[in-house]
Amino acid sequence: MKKKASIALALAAVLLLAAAYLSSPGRAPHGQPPLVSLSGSHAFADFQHAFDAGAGVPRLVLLLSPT
Amino acid sequence: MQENPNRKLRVLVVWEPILTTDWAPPSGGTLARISDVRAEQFWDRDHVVASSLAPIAQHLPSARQPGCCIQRGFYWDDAILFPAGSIWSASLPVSFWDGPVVNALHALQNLLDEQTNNAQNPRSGAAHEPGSP
Repeated sequence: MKKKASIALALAAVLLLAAAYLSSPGRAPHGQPPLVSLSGSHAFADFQHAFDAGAGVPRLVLLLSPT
Repeated sequence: MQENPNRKLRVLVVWEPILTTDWAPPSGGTLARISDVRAEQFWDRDHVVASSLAPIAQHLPSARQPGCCIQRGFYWDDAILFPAGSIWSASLPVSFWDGPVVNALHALQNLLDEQTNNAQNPRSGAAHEPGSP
């Protein structure tokens, strides 16, 4: 009984760690700013700021799905 | 992008959840698919960028309306090019808008090449304008 509980606990811990790892954003490639999560009341303002900051050159917006 | 590392361009990559498997932010491996230093990447869980692009698409002439792609009511898998000098607004000028991205890259590349040539040789660019003497 004790052994089963230990296995269940270990399994739950592994699942929790896996979920935490998968739900955390990845690291942007070297030389790029960190990934920006657009959320909250200033979500679009963060994007607009980045867009307008590059106004001196053409800007290409790519809308993509992670998978 | 890798073919023209010196081209003046800023790339804003917006990852948004569209498919049922998109329940988490993009992983490092996904972000690494766009490794160019001219890029900045965003995770847009709530589709705020796609939603803000919708009125811009509505302002486009019918011949230039994006033919692709809307899923669950949001634009996605699209490449949209905005000219230099433009500041975000609902009537933002659009140089190019098409998708899916993989199919649009060739036309986009041609347009960027044309813009670069026109910037370097303004007289030759003007000679191709319709109605010019």
